[in-house]
Amino acid sequence: MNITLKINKIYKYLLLFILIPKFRFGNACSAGQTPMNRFPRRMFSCNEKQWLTRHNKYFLLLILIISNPLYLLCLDKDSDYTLSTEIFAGWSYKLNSELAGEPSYSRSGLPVGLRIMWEPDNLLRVGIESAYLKLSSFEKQGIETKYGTTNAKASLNAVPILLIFSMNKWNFDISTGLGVYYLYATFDAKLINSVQQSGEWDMGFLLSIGYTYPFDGPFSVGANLKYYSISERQEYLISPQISLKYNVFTW
Amino acid sequence: MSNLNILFLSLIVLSSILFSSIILSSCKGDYSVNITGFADSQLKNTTSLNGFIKKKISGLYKVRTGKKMFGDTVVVKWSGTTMSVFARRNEAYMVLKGGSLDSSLVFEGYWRFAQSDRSGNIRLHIAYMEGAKELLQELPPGKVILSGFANEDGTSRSSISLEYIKPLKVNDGFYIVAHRGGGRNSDLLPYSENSLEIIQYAEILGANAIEIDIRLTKDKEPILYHDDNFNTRLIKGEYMVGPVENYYLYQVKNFCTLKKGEIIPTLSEALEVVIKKTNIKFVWLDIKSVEAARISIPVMNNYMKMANQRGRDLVILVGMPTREIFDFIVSGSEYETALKLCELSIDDVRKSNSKVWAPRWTLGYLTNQVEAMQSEGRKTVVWTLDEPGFIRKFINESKFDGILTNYPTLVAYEYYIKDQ
Repeated sequence: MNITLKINKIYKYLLLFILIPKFRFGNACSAGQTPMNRFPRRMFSCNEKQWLTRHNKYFLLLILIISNPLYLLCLDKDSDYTLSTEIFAGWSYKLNSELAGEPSYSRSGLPVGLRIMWEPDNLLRVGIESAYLKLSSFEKQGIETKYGTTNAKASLNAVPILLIFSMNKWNFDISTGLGVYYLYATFDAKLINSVQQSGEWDMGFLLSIGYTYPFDGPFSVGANLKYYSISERQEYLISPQISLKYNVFTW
Repeated sequence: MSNLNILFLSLIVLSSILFSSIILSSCKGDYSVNITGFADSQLKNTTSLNGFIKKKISGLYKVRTGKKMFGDTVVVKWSGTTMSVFARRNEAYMVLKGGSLDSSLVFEGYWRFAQSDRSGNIRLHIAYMEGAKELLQELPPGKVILSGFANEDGTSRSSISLEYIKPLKVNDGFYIVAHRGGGRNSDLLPYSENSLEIIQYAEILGANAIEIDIRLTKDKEPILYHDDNFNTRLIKGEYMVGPVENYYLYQVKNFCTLKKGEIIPTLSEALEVVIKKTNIKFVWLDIKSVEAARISIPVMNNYMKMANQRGRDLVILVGMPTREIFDFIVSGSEYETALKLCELSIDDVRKSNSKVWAPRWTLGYLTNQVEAMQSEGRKTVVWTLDEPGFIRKFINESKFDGILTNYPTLVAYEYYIKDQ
C-alpha cells in the first residue's frame, strides 16, 4: 500500500471517529462498566476510550483540520500547489480601552506583518501569520516615586503567531487564525533611567476578509480588514491593511 | 471539486468557527452584583443609633416571615455603623444601615446570597410597640421585632419579619478569617480582593481576622496581590502584562487599579488600615516568595509594635506555606521574634516555634494534633473552607480555633448559632 492510500485510510477513520459518536461508543462497553447518568452516555463509556473522549475531542478535530490538506494532496495529484508569502501593513485601532478620552492616550498603530500560505488547487489554504502590532500608548506626567517626580510613557504591543485557515474564491478571501500572541508593555520613565519591558503569551485568534488582485506573474496585491482578538487579555484590534503577495514556487 | 472535498471544506470552516467561538466565549465579562439602594430612602432623615441600641438589637432572631429566603433563624451583629444579618439558608446575608425616625427605628441596605449573584434591597423597621419605645429610652426591650420587606431587581417584594430570641454569645477567641482580605472577586463583593476597602468590609461580612497575599514589586516593595501575573481577573490596566515582580511600585500605583477601581495597596498601607480603622484581631500574611518574607517581616514587626502601643488586641503573623519559605525563616535568627503561622507539619510548627498551625481542611479534623498544639499554647486555623456543610461540621465537631474562608458570613452564622 502506498503512502497516499495509507493517509487516505487514516483520514477516513479519523473522520468517522469524530463525526459518529454512536460508532465510537454505542455498544462497545463491556458489562460492569457503568455510565455516569448525569452526563450524556457517550461522554462516559469504556475505560480505554474515556481518556480520548474527555480530553481529546478538540485535539482530534485539530488533527482532522490539519490533515485535510494532506488528504486533498493525496486525492488530487494532478493539481497545482503554491507556496506564497505575503507582507502587509496598515493601520490599526484598539477597540476597547479604560483610558479612552485621556489626552495623552493613543490607541492607533501601524501594523506590519508576514503571512506564509500553502495553497492547494482548491478553496482551502493553510499557513502561518505573524506581525508587529502596536496596540496603544499612554504618557502620564508628574508621577511621584521614591526617586522623585517623573513622567512615564507606556506602550502596549503584540506579536501574534497564528495558524491560518483561509478560503479563497473569485479572489475574495476569508481567513481565521488561531494561536498565541506575545503581548508586551514597555515603560520609559526618565527618572528610573531605563526602558523596561514585561510580557506574556496569551491565547487569541484572528478573523480576516480581503480581496487580492493578481498581476501577471508571481505578484499580486490585496486589501484586507482584520480583527485581532487577544482573548485571554480581552484586547481587541481592528486593522485595514494592504498586502503584497509573492508566489514563491508552484509545483 | 468533488462532493467529498466540499464536505471537508465545509467542515473546516465550521471547525474554525467552532474554535474561534470556544476562545471567544472563554472571555469572561465583568460580572457584578448591582445594588442600587432605595430611591426613596428613609435613612436620610434619621438620627444615628447609639451603642445601647446596637447592643440590644444584636442577637439571635427567629424568622417569622421570609423563611424561604433566610431559613428559620438568623444572626444579627453590628460592626461600627453597619448591621449585618447572617443566615444559613441560601447562604444569605444582609448589610444594613440604621437610624431612628420619629418613634421607630429604620434599617435599609441590601441582601445577598453569598454563593450566587442574587441580591436586592431590604428595608426593615422596629415599630414603636415592637421594641423601639424601650430602645429609644435606653431601656431593655420586652421584645424586638424587625419587620419589613426585601425586593429583588427592584420588583418582586417579599415580607420579612424577624423576632429577637437571645443575645449573641461572646466570641471566645474563635477566628473567622476572611480570605484575600475579605473575599474573592469571583464572589461579587462590593470591593476588590486584597484592597484596603475590602479589609475594612471584612468585619461587616462577619470576619474578625483576615488573610492577605504579599508579593514584591521590582523595587522590593511588598504589595497585596494574589497571582503571579497581572491579569484581567484582578486588575484593570492595559500596560500591566506579565509577572508582578517586573513592575516598579510607581507603575503599580499609576498604571492600574484593582477590579473595582481601588489602588493596589502596599503591606504598610494595609496594616495601617487594619490597626487604625478596624477591630480585626488576626492578620495572616500569605507570603508568596522567600524574598517577600525577608522584606515583609520587618514591616510586620513594626506594625505589631504600633498595634501594641495603641493597645490593640491584634496579632500579625507571617505565613510559611512552603518548605522553602519555612527554611528561610527558621534559618534567620533575626526572624525569631516574628509571629509565625506554619502550614506544614506540627513538628515544623514546633521547630519554628510558630504561634499558629494552619493545616489544609481536606486533612480532616486532626483532633489529636490540634489538641497537642493547643496544649502547647498554639492556635490552629484550618484553610480554606467554603462548602456550607463542611463549615457546619468543622464548627460543631472539630476543635480548630479558626477557619479561613471565602464566606465569612457562613462561618459567622454557624459559629454564633452553635450551642444556642
